Amino acid sequence: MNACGNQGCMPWRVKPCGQASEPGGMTQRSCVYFGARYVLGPVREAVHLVHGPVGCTYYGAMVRGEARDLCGTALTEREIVFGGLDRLRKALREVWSLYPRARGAFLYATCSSGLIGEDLAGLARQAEREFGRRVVAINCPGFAGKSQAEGHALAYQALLDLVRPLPRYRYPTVNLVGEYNVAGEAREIRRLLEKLGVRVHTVLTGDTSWSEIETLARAHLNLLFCGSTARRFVSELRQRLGIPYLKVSFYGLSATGASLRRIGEVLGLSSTRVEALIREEEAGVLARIRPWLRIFDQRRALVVLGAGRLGPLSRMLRELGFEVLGVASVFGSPEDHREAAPFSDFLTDDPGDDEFERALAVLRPDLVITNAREQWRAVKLGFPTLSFPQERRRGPYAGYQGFTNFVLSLARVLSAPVWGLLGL
Amino acid sequence: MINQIINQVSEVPLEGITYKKLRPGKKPLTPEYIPPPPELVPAAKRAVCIDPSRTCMPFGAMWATLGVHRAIPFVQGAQGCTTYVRYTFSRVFREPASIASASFHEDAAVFGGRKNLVRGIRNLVCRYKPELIAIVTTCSSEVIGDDIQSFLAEALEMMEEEFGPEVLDLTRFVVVHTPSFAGSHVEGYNRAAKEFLKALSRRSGQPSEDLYFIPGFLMPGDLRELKHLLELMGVSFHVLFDISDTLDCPLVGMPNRIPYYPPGGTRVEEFVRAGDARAIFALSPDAGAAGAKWLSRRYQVPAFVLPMPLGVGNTDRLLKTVSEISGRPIPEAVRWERGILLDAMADTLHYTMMKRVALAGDPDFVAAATRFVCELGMIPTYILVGTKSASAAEEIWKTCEEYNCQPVLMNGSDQFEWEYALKQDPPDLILGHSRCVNISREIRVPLVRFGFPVYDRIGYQREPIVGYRGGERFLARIVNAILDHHYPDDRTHQ
Ligand code: SF4
Ligand code: SF4
Repeated sequence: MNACGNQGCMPWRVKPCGQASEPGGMTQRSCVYFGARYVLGPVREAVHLVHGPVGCTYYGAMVRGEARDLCGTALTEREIVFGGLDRLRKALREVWSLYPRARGAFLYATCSSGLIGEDLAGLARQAEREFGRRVVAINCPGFAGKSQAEGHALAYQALLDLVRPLPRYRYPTVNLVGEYNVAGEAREIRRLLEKLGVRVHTVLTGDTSWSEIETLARAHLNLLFCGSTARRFVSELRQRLGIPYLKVSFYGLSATGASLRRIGEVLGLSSTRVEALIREEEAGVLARIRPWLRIFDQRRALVVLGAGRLGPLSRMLRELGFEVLGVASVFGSPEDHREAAPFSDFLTDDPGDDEFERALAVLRPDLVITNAREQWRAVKLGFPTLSFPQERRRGPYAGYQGFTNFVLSLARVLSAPVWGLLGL
Repeated sequence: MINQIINQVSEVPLEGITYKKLRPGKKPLTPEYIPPPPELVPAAKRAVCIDPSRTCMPFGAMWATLGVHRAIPFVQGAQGCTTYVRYTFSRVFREPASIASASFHEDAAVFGGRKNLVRGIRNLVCRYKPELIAIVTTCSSEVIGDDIQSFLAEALEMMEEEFGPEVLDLTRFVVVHTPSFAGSHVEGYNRAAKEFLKALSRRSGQPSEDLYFIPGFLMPGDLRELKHLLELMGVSFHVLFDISDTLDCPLVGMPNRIPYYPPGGTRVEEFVRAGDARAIFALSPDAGAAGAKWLSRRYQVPAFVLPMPLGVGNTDRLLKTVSEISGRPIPEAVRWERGILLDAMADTLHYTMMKRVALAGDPDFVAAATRFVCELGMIPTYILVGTKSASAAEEIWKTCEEYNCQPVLMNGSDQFEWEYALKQDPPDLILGHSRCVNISREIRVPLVRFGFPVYDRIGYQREPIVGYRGGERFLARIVNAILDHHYPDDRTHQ
């Protein structure tokens, strides 16, 4: 197999991050438009309008497994040949009367509109003048980058332009940035912060709206959750509007405790109050998860996930007694890899299907953690598999209650009798 | 012990619709609902498409390819067109689906996809050793105007140079042009059916008695039911694009050989012999008829384009045609199954008769289901055909004439228009795919899921709706939905 560039001795060819995928390698990466939808999909009070053929609109309506409102221009051959801007202009006019409550619109470019050279930004400016409502064009044709990561960046860039300078609230307030509210995780984080008397202005972009984004400068502090998608956004906000930011993680007991303490320090909260909260919550969790820790001990896990979750998740697994055999990102950044490096000696990026299978065959992990789209491959080959983002019914994994849920999910996966019934 | 612990641990409660809120009889529609201006309701009058009930052409071609043994679709486009589709397959079937992308980036957009195709095919052949690669184009490669045939020739030449001439015997190639702006996934399947036969089928001069079937978007359970009927008929047959053992496979643990390929799928050899077939059947007029017609034009194989065998009349039609062409009588065992379906229909007529039902989905499913609900004495009210289709419209109007009903047919419209109609005039029941959940919740009308895609319930891909036994299962699904909804807490209702 050396002719293909694969090294026989390694389950994966160890790839550094940031390289373009090889054609025909069965990458799990997606397109730039996908990335833009990932970030902007849940924003309320906005019309989301895709300028492209019907397929991109159909698929783009699903964001992290949940249906989001999405309109499209459903381009046909005619517009591909003669240009689709007229259709887009007409569509914009229509959406304002169909969604009178919307504060503004996001226009998404796609491969087709990018290739025929449609000037969405120009049209957006024109439309703003005509209708008096904000129209933000996102130049995200699918081919315009190596993966969805570029789309995340473009989306946050678009959000940045909405933010207005405003005076701060009088009570301590934070924004959660890069927190996508998977299965209600933002609710658990909010609960903990509120117990400390800290209010949450908005959650980018898991639970947010157009007007909340416009006014997010009223908060004192941005809490950065997923660094790979949102780090530029918060550092720009610090520069432009002087809002400080703090990188936090609510995955796992140690990270959650440390994050709460840091937040307390920065906002000047009483440390006894913070410590009391941590003590109380930790005690509750420990009592509930203790019975399970035994079955996690020395189990060997393989982690293949998008980008930002790698480090926090590996840390959580370590905390529970797992050994992390290997970590692969799908479109990770150097920062993600640095975060994950201490937990595993084996680190790579963008594995193809064959490389994933070979890793399973060679490493024979006791547990596979991978994304929802690709989980069935590992399941089919008989490996206990936990997928991300988790469905709503599994509950949040962040914070203390989330940690309990995570442990329970792991326990279900690992102790399911089905894995023991494989041989006849 | 483990169960005890699970019971002791309480999880963070989830939000959801409580049983109370689900009770019928409450006022429908959310308070924030603002009705749209009436002139913007019909999709034909709008430039904006809201909630389309169809997806893109490459999807159909990929579906067909995944029904072939050790075949991989190679999608000539950017990565999203592939990843979104992999996601869709994984959600509907809960199975791995190997689909390769040409990974278009900026350079491909400027210089075309030659390099991507040449490198991609080489990587695919040498890393995955497929028996067949279907090169599926996308909007991007079609807009750029990639000359796929010449790229492919170049790729083969390069591979021959690198690995020796034997490499050329390893893999067959089929090219399917699927620009999404020219049609939906239904048309994509249709084109694939034709291109596969065009590229592979031959005539040996020795005619066979084999009947060939192009199923369209039938699910694994449906295909198994179809094969069961044909086995009872005692004919020899081949199902092309047979996803039943590629997208619904047993869990067996680590295979001896990786990369993993599912065990089933139509063999290339079966396509090759199609030119000698006794007859070819397309069981979805919009998804597959092009293949059947091509075969009949090229090799004079009699082609039959029939409605999906869903319900009594449609299944009768299929079996009668098969019986005529093969000269075999319809056996007692088949009549028995038919009788059971009729028995179930008679048993439950009080629940189904005169119930008003709205339908949505792909043309072939909706056209066939319309006939079935009419056979049950239901009254179709609003019918959404996600992809515009003349044949589905014709079949629906024919049915409605027979059963004397006048539904509103929205041919090629989007869900927005259809849902608006349902809000004004709620039916008793909705027959549709998983994307109809929202409207079903909003107007509090039960949804019976069928067709493509169903991803929010388990096992639908395995439970047949075609054939007599499938019809009986489908009827049970319908009646149980009505019972659950209208008698949600009636313990005395026996
Ligand atoms: S509509 Fe065209 S560009 Fe969009 S996903 Fe489908 S093939 Fe790709
Ligand atoms: S056509 Fe382009 S933008 Fe649309 S899904 Fe495919 S890769 Fe993404």
